[in-house]
Amino acid sequence: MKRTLAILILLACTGIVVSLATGPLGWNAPGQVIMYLRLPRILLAITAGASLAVSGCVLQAVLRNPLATPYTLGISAGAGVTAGFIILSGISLPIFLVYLSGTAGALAASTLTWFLAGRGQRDHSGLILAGVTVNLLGASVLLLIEYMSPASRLVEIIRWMMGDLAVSGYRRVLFLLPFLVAGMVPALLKTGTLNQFLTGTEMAESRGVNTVRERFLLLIAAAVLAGGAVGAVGPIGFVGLIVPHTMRRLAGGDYRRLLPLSALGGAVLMLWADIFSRVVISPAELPIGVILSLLGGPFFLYLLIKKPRL
Amino acid sequence: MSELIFQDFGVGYSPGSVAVSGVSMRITGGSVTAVIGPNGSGKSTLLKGILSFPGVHTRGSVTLDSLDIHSMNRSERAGRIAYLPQSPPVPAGLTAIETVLLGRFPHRSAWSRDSLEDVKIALDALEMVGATHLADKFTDEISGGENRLVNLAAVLSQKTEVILLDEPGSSLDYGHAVQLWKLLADLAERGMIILATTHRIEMSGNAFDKVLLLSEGKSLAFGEPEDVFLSGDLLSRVYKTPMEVRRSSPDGSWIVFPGVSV
Repeated sequence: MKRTLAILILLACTGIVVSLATGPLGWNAPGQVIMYLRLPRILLAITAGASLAVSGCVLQAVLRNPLATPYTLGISAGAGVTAGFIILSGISLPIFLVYLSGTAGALAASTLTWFLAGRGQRDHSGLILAGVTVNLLGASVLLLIEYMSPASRLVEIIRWMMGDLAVSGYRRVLFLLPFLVAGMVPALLKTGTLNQFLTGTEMAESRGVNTVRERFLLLIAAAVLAGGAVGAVGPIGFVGLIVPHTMRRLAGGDYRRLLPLSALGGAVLMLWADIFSRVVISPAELPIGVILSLLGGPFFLYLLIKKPRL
Repeated sequence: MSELIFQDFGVGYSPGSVAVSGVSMRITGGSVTAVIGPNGSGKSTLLKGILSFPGVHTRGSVTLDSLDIHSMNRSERAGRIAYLPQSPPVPAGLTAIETVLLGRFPHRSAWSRDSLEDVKIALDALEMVGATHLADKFTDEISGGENRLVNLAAVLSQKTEVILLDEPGSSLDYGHAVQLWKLLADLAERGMIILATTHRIEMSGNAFDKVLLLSEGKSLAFGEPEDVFLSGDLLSRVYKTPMEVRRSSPDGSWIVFPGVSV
C-alpha cells in the first residue's frame, strides 16, 4: 500500500506541475493565466476525479457489483435530462444555477432509483435494476430533447455530455467543494461498514450493521459526490469504474485503504487525462469525456475477461 | 450459564405470512442443538428470524438470559450472537485473515484499525478451524470449502456466547465436516450455545445434545436425539422416505440409513 501511495503522490505532484505548464507559452504564460485558468482547472480535475472515484468505490460495495459506477443509479441520465432541458429552453440562468441543475437532476434520478427499488429492504439487485431502468428512461427523454433541439442547441447538449474542465476562476471548484465534503466525510467514516457489505447483507446485519439505513446513507453519499461532480464538469464516465478496480488490484479490497487510495487515484487519473486532452491535438482540446471513454472501453473488456475481484 | 428460550416463536416474510411457527424450546449454555428437517421446512428462516433480519417478521419471543433478543440494539446483539449463513458471498479482494478480522467489527468503531488483540483473536480462530495456512491467501483464490472454514473462523472471532450456523458442514469434505462438528462440541463445552441447521446428521457424529425437527414450517419435535430419532416412524414420515437412524458403537455417533425400512 505504501508503494501505491507513494506512486500516486508522485504522479499527482508531477501532474500538477505539468498541468500548470501545459498551454500556450508554458511556464512563461502570464501569471493570471496560471492563477485563474490553469490552477482552478487542476483543482477542478482533482476534486471531480476524487468525487467520481469514491462514488464508484462506495457503490461497488453497497450494490455488490463490480460494474457499478456513479451512473448505475441513473445519475448520468438525470443530469443529462435537466441539462438538456435547460439548454433546449434557452433559459439564461446564473452560472451557479446551471451547475446546480445538473446536480439536482442527478440527485433526483438517484432518489427515483431508490423509490423504484421497492419499499422493502432494497437489496443490491433491486437497486441495480431500478438504476438501469432510470438510466434507460433518462436516455430516452434525452434523445427526445435532442431530437427536438435546433442544431446549435444540439451541439451544445452533446458538448455538455462529453464533460468539460475548462474554467475561468474558482467558481466551479467552490461549487463542487461542499458536495465533496458532504459525500467524502461519511464515506470515509464508514469504511468499516463498507467492508461488512462485502460479506453480504446477512453477515453484515449479524455483526450489528443496520444494512437498510447504512445502504441508504452510503447511496446518498455516493449520489452527492457524483451529482456534485456532474454538475461541475458534466457526466464524465469511467473514472468511478477504472480507479476503484485498479486500486483494489494494487492495494487489496479493505475499504479502509481502498477508499482513500481511490480518492487519490481518481484525482490523478482526471489530472493526467486533462493534460492529455489538452496536448493531443494542441492547440485545440479533446473533450475529457472522450479520452476517458477511450480508456474505459478497453478496461470494461478487461473486467469482463479477467472477472476481477469486487 | 447462558439460556436461550423460545416461546411460541414464529417467522414470516410478510406481516401475515407464516414460514415457521410454534417453536418453543429452552437451550442452555454448553449444548449443541441440531435443527433438522426437509428442504423448505424453515430451518434457515428460523435462524433469520432469531436475528430479525430486514424483511423478516416474527411473533412470539426469543430471550437470551431473560432479555428479549429483538429488543436488544444491533451492536449489543452482535456482541452476544454470531451467525454463519449458508452461502455468504466471498469478500473478494480480501485475504483470509482480513476476512476473519471482519468478525471483530462489533467490538470496535466502524473506521478504526485492527488492534494487535484483534489480530491475535483472528489468528487463534483460524487455528481453531485448521486454516492457519490460508491466512495470507485471497478468499477468491481458495476453494468453497476453505472459504467455509474462513467464514467459520470469522464467526468465532466475534467472540459471542451464542453461535447460529446454517448448514455449517456444507461444502466441507468428510474430514473437515467431522472436525467442524467436533469443534462445535468443544465450543459448547466451554459454555457456549450452538444452534446449527443440518441435513447431514451422520456428519455430526454425536456432537449435538438436542434436536429440533421442523417440517413444513412447524416444530414437530424437540428433545434428546434418541427421543426424536427413535420415535417410531417420525423421520420417515417427515422425509417421505423410509429411513432408519441408529447409534454406532463404540462412540455413539449417529448413522442414518435413508431408504431403509424400519
